[in-house]
Amino acid sequence: MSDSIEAQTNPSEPDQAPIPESESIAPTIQVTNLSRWFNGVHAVNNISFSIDPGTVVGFVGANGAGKTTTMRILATLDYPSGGEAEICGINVVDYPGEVRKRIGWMPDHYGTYRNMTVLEYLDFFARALGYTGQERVDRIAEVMEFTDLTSLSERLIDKLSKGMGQRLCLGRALLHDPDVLILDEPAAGLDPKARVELKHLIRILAEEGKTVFISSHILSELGEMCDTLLFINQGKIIHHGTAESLKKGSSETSLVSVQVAGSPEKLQEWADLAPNVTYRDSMKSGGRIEIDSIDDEVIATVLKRMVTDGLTVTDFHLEERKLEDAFIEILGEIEAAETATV
Amino acid sequence: MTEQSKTKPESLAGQMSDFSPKLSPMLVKELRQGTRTNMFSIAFILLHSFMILCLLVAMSNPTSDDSSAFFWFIITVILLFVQPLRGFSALSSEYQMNTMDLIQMTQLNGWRITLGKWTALNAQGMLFITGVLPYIVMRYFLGNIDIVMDLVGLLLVGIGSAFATAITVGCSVFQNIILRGTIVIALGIAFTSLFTIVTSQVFGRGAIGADQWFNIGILVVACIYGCFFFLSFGASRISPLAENHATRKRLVAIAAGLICALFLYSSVDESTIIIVCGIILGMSCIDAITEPLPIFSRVLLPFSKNPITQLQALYLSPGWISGLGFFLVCSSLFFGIFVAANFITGSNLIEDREDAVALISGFNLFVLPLIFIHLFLPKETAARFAFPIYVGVQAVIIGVTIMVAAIANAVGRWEDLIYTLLPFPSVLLFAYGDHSISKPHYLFIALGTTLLCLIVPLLRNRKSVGEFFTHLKPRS
Repeated sequence: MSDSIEAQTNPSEPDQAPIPESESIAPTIQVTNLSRWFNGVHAVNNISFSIDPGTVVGFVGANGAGKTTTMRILATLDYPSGGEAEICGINVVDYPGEVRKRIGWMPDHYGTYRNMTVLEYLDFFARALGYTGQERVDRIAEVMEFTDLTSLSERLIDKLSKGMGQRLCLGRALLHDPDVLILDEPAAGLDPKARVELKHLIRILAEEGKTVFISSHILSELGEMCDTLLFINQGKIIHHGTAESLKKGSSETSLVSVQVAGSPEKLQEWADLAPNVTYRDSMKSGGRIEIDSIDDEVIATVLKRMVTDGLTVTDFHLEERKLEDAFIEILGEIEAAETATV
Repeated sequence: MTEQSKTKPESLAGQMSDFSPKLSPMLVKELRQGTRTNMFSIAFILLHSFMILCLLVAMSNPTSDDSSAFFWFIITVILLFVQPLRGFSALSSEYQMNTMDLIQMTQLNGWRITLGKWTALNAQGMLFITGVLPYIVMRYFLGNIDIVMDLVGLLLVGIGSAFATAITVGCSVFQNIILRGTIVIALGIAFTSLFTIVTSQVFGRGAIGADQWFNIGILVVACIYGCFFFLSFGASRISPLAENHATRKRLVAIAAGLICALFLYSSVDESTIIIVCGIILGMSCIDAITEPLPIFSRVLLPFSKNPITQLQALYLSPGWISGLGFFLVCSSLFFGIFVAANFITGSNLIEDREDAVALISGFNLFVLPLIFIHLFLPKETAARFAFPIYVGVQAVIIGVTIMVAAIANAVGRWEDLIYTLLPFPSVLLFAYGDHSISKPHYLFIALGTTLLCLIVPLLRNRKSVGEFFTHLKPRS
């Protein structure tokens, strides 16, 4: 916070202090040395990261890693024990009211009300957000259409399925058209159809230019949805990068899945004799081989040699490293480094 | 997006027009939900059934008072017990349903949330009262009814109901049901006692005269302040620490205390005024000295402007540190009211050193638990749960005092036991009441206890106190 801004404050209006002006090129979410501890236990331990406007960022970590605590601090619902966090250049601790206008928050357990319909629920939040008259009606209609809830408007909330409830919760978070969406485990407990629907909605929001910060356990889905992934473990950020870079990793070999016509043993016999190729494991009608290079030319040469040597190759494709494997690998590297330090 | 789900804003507008857009969102939500509950429907049907029964009894025996007693019993039960109990989980249920966070993310601040909850419950109470009015009028035609007394009674019950509801709504901020229950029961007993005393003063003397109106007046002032206090209490504890709710709360408490003191010029008994002022200032002090520490950089910003605002921060800014300053201000004010009572009414409420000792010990009762809270508990726990712990420690101190008194009486060595526990203000007060023992150093002991109660928490939290004063410095 700059001194000049503080000096402008009017003491007669304690909650009306001016907020710092954000720079247009500034990150939407800026976290600097953020810590949160509960009775000596570090839930979040000195983490720093920034998220650019209009990006979708996945927040990944095991249970208790510090995801929800970080997200709650960003949503102004908890306080950091140290460090700073800013949304659109506004400090979340000093100006919670201003930050709340700019974010849509979706908690892991969405709240329901008894004796209240879908429409009444959205109407309550629209009123609470300050919408009046036709604007309120239009806003609710727009959100209901986007989340496909119009036909359920008269249904009681506690009678909704989990998927419908999540859509309703997303609709509520979108009522005030926020710049930033913070979604804590939105896909948890959803059936596959509901997950696909949710993923579709988030993709549309990303295309509209909203910054989406989303946590999930399902790494494959995050990989498809997110521009970058942020891994957190034991309160510390252990990786921040694109899904592609994670899949690629630091490996110097390529894993290839091969299917052949006829006996699959032929593939193994061929691999045992071929240079720079290691047979990994068998699959139905073939197996997986590891090539000691990531060069496309070398991989193409291996395929050519297979065909030349008489194998009837029906399928040959590079296997991408799974994000789960990448996550586990990064964790392993950290543990190894810590052990070495000890 | 399915074709059938195409939105029709006109039909939506029709479905949402049941409440005016000018009404508080919280009120609309609570009314929509509240009037749909089985409890509301059953209570409404039962009320009317009992009222019809009352009328039938009154018609069969117009000279009997039984129907009147039954009438008031039903009204009192519904408005003073059933309605307030509905507020018992007003805020905690929002936490349990994971909806409090969602509400806080809107433009509704803590005050509007609690006020909306309270207003909705009272609106439903008003529905009950309105439903009862025709029966009051009908009873009037049957005779043996003083309609003015009935209406005044209904007014008092209505005010009492609003106050009791504010207590439960404000205390419902605590999610622990045992703590919430304990506080509500304790306050309920205190409230019922006070309400009974005042209503007996109003109705016990036949027709309502000027004296009774003054009694009603001080009751109304106390109840209005009580409603404000408990709603603010709940609001400040669900609001972000960067928001300042303390200044308004404390200024209103001082104003309410002064307004009640003005009744010294009326026919209201001065001891009643002293008790009411004591309750008002005492409640606000307990709240102030147990407030969690705020985000200093934010809340002290408006106070850092000049020496006058800096001085105000010492007792009006949020957090328990300035709460101690507020305690000193309230103690001085209460002492002033005592002196004023002596001067205006000619009574002798405070005339010698022993009375001063009693008064200081009374003040010490409020701050003594702070020593235990700040000395023996981890700072984070003390900062977050000061109020619940305060309630527990205070209960233990009162329990110990009662035990000491009982033991001292039983063994006949009153003085020996009392001397060892004199620093406890409650024990000192007991000893003060016993004229058989000598009290040479009581004033010093009482003042020493006050000093300890104020100094220990500040010393234990030197770092926070340092931050407080750092942020209070004018910023260039």
